[in-house]
Amino acid sequence: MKMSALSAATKSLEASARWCRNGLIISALLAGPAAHAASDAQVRIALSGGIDLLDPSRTANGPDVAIMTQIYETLLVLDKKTGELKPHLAKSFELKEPTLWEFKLRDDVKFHDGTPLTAADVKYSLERLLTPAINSPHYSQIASISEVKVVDDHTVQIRTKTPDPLLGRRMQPIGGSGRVFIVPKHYFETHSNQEVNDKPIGTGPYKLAEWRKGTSLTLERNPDYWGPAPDVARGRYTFIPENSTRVNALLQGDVDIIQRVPMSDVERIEKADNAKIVASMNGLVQTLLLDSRKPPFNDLRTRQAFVASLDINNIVTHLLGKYGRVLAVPLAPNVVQVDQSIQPYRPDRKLAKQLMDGKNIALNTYTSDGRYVADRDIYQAINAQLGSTGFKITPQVMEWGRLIGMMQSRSAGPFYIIGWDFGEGDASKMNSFLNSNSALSVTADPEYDKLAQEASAEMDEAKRTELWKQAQKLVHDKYYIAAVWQAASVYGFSKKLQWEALDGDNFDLATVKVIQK
Amino acid sequence: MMKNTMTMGPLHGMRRALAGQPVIIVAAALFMALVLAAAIAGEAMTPYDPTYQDLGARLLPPGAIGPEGRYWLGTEALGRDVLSMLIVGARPALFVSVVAVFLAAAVGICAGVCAGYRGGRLADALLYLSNIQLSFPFFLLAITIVGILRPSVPLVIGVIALGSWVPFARVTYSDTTQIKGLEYVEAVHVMRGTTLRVLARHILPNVLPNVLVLATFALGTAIVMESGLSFVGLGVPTDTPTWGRMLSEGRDYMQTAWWLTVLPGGCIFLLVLSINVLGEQLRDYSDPKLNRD
Repeated sequence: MKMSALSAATKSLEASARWCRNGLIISALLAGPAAHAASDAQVRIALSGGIDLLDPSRTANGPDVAIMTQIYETLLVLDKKTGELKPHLAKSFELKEPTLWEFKLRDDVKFHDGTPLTAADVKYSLERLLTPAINSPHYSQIASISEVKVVDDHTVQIRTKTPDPLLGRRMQPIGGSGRVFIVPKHYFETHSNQEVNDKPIGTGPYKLAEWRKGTSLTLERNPDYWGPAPDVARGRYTFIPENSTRVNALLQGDVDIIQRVPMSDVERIEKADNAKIVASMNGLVQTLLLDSRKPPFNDLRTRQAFVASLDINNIVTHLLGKYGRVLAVPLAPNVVQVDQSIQPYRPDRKLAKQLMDGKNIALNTYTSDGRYVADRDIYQAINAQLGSTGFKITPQVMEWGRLIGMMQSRSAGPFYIIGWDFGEGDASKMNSFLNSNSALSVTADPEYDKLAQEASAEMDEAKRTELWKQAQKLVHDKYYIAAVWQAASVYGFSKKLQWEALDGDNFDLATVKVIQK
Repeated sequence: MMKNTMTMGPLHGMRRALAGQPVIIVAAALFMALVLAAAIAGEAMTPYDPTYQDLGARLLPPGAIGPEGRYWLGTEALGRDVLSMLIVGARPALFVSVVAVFLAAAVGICAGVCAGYRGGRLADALLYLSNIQLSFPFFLLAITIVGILRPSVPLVIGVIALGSWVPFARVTYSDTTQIKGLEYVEAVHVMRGTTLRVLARHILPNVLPNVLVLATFALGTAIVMESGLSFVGLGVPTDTPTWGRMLSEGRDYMQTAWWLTVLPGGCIFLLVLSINVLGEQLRDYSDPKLNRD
């Protein structure tokens, strides 16, 4: 009941955002000079994490991507409302054969150095990601590509080894699906990896003005941008990892936009004269993963007892309030393949104790602190609930960089929380934490792997959805994931600015509007 | 180092000003007794189970009445009773610091007495080593060691001891060099007393009063170190609350729930101050020169 109300609210929010954007574009077209009035606005943004790399083939890190999506662009984008693919750098695309995709490029796109975009750049960008020496984190996502062919200056064809229904989605920028950003061939070929990283040249609405590594980064509007000009002229990004410092910087007017507002400070910002909260319910999907490859959770009954001990709804209601919702399956609600018939697990302490059969299980576990919304508090609340049915938890706070390294080397303990960006809106994201071939997976279930394999090669949408629904059912019945919830992406904004948070954790400077000087 | 700038510096002046005031000494002794009682009794003394979470009673201010009764010092972000947490948190703060100071004193005295008595290269080595130790930022060292080896009770104690042994060694070293030149020590030598006898019967008893005073100051510093390590998540791993961790967890609520940081912070401050006031008292008492003034 609550969930459907929330998703309805989100939908209407998205609809109104669309209205706003269309309205603004129209007004910008009609009233040229008026739109120019705000054109010299500089906006200061405080991110919670630092920027390491700006080479699109070498990083998938959130803060890096927030900057790269302003500088570089992709062939396609997702429609925020319908979740469908829309043309972007490509003006049209077509599946010519089950294994052959053709993209027609716009002919009015120029890189920041004035060179026009051609099909050769697209071919180069894809092949760079596929070069083993680059060791791109996106490699596995587009590994199905066997050949990229330049047909003419503005036509490019992509051939895949097997039918790949997701190839189109790999060409859009949101989520972790592939992020094939188009880079200029002439520049990348003649400069070193370090140079192209330090001085990126793309086609995007912004270009890099200054990057003081570790301190700040400034973006400047691209005057020759092919699309609608963004409202904000300059964006200056700084990094404030400390939660309360970041909030205070916004309230004192030192910055105009902050990322990741902690729940405890939402009310302070709402009450402030100069700031407001902007939230998107499409935040990260948080999964409480049980490592079912090792004892004790290689036993189904133990997993079931664990799940029955938890009252995740109680935790989310109290700790996240209106900015959180419990989900039944490890997929964001905007994913088309969600199986609506599955219900979230219900707490049942009696059953849990019965399954535990008087046993006590000691677990050494870790949590991040500040990586996700209220992560440490939620972890502690989960531990307390588990304690009453015989799971004895030794808690430990761990720095995120180290914790994710431990997850990848399978030493992060019997259970942990990790959040997933479902921006690409497809169930195949589940593979990241469930497919036995993924580095961050905690399960090795041949049945799941088989379903995922079949789904990945199924070109028929209805059949594909059916396969993913079977996979969800399997995951639910086997208690691989103890709890799933989604926390909103909460931003703090100066009242002088307006923005609709549609992409959850993906902050897009180009869509920020200046409403007051 | 941290000790000099953070605890000794400002507190030293305050100690001197307060030491003559009997009220302050009584208050310090009372607070000390209270903390000791909490550390010994632990959960037997708490009004609520300090680990019991009640998400419906989150962030209640001090004195508020919740579903389970009155919370004299309020509740924290997960609805646990702050007073109960503070009581239970006294034990790790005291236990770890006391053991660490004992360890540091033992190591420091051994090193100081040996180097002072032998002199020569051994003394040079000790001075050199303690200079290195003093010039290395302790907290950085502690975070590195505990971070790499994963926190555990012996490791945290060991690291704090590592950060506290130098003053013991330095003081006993200079006391020993002074005492070994005195006539009665020479007399023992003349009477063919063994080295062991000299050390045990004549030197050790004479350095101990200073060590005792030093230990009280080191204890204060050790409590701050233990809380600091807990604060950055490298303290003793336990599911019961510690003051440092309470401080760290309350930090996010500093603007909205002051009691989560002010109360554990106040406890650390008052405990360290009490120990220092009592230590000052002990020093005045044990130093005959000061008594004569």
